[in-house]
This record gives sequence, C-alpha cells and structure tokens, in this order.
Amino acid sequence: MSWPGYASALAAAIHGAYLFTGKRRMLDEAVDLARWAVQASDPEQDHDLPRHRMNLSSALLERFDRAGEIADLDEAITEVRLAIAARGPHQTDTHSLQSTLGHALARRSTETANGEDLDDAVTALRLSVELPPDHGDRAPHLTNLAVCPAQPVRVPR
Amino acid sequence: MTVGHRPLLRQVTDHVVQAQVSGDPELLQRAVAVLRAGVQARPRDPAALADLGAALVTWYVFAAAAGDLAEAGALFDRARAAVRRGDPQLAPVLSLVGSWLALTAETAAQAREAVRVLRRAVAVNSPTR
Repeated sequence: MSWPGYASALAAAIHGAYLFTGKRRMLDEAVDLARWAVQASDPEQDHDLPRHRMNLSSALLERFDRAGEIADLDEAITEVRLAIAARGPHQTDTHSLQSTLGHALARRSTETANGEDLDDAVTALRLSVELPPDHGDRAPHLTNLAVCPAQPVRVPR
Repeated sequence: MTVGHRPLLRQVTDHVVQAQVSGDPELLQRAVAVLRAGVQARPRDPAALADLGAALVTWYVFAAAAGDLAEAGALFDRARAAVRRGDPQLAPVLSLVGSWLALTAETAAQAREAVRVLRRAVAVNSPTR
C-alpha cells in the first residue's frame, strides 16, 4: 500500500472519531488529509484512488451537513463522480459510491432547487440498490432511495 | 435520515484486488483460500493474519456473511498482538488493523484508538522519515 493509502485510511478514521466527538477541528483534519491523499496519488498506479476520493467526499459531505458551505457539497459530488468513473460497474463498492452520489445530489437539489440534480440523484440511488435481496448493504441504500425528495418508493426485486 | 455514506474504510491486499476489479466472487473465494493457507503456514505472521482479515472483510461486501466478519475481527486481534516495533511489516499491518478498529468502533475511546493506530502507520511510512 502507498503512503497516500495510509493517509486516506487515517482521514477516514478521524472522520469516524469526529462522529463521536463532534469536534470541528477533527473534521477539518479529515478533509485536509483526505484531500492530500487524493492529490498525492498517481491515477495510473494507485488502484485505491477511487477509495481515497470516496473518503474525501464523505468527509466533505459531513462538513457540509455541519457548516452548510455549498463549496464542500460541490467538491463532494465532483469527487464521488470521479470515483465512480474510475470504477467498473461490478466492483464491490460501486453501490456505496452510487448511494453517496445520490444522497449528495439530493441534498444539493434541496439547496438549489435544481431539478437535474434531483433526476440524477434518483438515477444514482436506483443503481445503488441493484444488489441481491439478502445483501447487507441493500437495506441502508434502500433507505436512502426511500427518503430522496419527491421519489415514489418502489422496492426493486 | 441519511445512511449509507459512511467512509469506506476497507483496505485490500494485492491478492484480492483482481477479484474486486472483476467482481468475481469465485476469484475472491480462491484468494481467501490462498490467504487462509498462508495463515495456517505462518500462524504468527502479522501480515498473513491481517491480509486474511482484510480479504474476509472484502468477502463480506460480496456476500454479507456476518460470520466472516467475526473471523476477521479475531484475525486482526491476533495480527495486532503479533506485530512488533521495528518490524518492516509494521505500517501495512497497522493500517489494516487501524481501519478495522475504525470500522467497528462503537465508542469514542475505540474510535480514538483506531486513530492512534493509523497515525502510527502513517508516521512509520512517512516519506520524510
């Protein structure tokens, strides 16, 4: 594993610790470290770059939830889209990436009343639930789909 | 309520990367079998223990089999106990163990412990060292 990989894992852990402590400086450190990990990664060599982008996106979404800066939300959406673009459709974390993208786009559509974001959010959230019925991640992704604004609830079979 | 965007903390080894890329569960099962044989051959090797633990976490993502997570936790505990200061395997093992601790933390103290372990991994592997 590369050093950016260690830094990205640390960023995610600091983000996780923030969820317990609520200390803003921890969230800022997680964002800074995760962003550094993305910037320090070689896109040609580091197969974990999408994961680093996902960690950055999650930390930015968390900070948006706390502080409401739309720039954090915009960057989170950009990063998770880049992560999805770099992933094949069958990779193990693609559904989580789509769920995160859908959640972020739904949040932005609420902030900006952008109908295109809402359409894209529904598309991403539907992709996120294309999992076997007994898969452990399906229930939380279905929840994200169900709470999406203006989204009629239909459980895919 | 919003769920499902928790940071992805899973770390993978080179042994399971191809399985992840292809999305082929049989490939991953074979990788797990190879790693399990590695643990049987080297039951106190922290890298072997942590690699198998990470592969089982990845297998959980494929199959959502909770029993695999319990075994992964036991392997990470053994890996952490086996790692020794100055061991060249220190950073990758600490990173895998720390990520596991972060993923499973249920208290602030456990989350802080995960951060401590991962800070060690970063410090050990810093390019400025």
